[in-house]
Amino acid sequence: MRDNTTSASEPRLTGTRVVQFGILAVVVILSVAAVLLFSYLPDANAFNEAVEEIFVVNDALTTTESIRILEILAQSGTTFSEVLASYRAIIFVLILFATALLVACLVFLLTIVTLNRRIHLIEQSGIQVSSLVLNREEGVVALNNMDFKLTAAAMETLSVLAEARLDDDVLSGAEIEAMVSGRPAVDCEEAAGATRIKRLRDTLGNQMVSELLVKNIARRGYMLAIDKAVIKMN
Amino acid sequence: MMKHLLLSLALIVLASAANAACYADYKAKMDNPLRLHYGVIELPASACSVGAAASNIAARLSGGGWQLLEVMSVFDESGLQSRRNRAGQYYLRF
Repeated sequence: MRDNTTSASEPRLTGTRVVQFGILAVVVILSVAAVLLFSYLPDANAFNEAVEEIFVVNDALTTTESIRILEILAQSGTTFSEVLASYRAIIFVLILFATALLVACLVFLLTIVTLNRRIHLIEQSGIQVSSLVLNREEGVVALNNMDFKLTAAAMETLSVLAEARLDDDVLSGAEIEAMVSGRPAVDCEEAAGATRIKRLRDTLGNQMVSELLVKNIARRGYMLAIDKAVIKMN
Repeated sequence: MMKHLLLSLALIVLASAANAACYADYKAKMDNPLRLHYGVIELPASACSVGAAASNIAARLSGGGWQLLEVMSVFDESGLQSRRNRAGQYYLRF
């Protein structure tokens, strides 16, 4: 029985298996086609044998002229079989191309499926920050492509946090207060830093929610900025 | 020596012709490129039938690089003239 859990690696595993099967199937089918192609085309001697057969069966074809014509027939057949051989080479090259294209298609298909799955996950996980630009002079922070206006103090707090993140540091409330105010950390209170964080959260969170969720339409009122279809009431 | 041999061969041919002469017409081929011919050949009295002539004719043709396809018929001098034109350069050549 299957477990009642799902894991992200499971579909990826079956996906690679599907691709391996697919590539194998494509290669097998097309190599079978190539083998058939090479085995079913008549060889150069087939035409000569046919002409020989005609010569043996028909006793009327024994004059010098008719024999000459039969020989010419055989030669043109041989020439034609050389043409066929070149066609065969061309078809074989085309089969190689087809194999490469089909394999590439399969790989791309799998890539698209995995990307879709990832996009779905991203959509479900809410806001994903892909860029954070701090503009200290204007007091504006750009999250993805949304601009939020911050007070000077909140801007200062966010800058300190951003710098600490760049250095992979974790700051305590006292350290934040120390860096913003410029005093030594031992003289600063933990609560002062916590207050700064709270104010930053308030101002940024408020703006973010109004941008993403509760929209304010000027002189008309308020409205949820989401698709109707996603709302469910239990 | 060579001349002597030819002379004796001619004598044999003449002698056998004086007997009840035996001839056959046949079809032969050569590969690469395919060449065909129709010819008339003289047979020794011992191989004077379609079945018996085949190995005899095949052996003589292979000296010229030809391969026997079919022995058509066996006949005597009376059949020679009608086949002479058709056989062309292969009339009594081998």
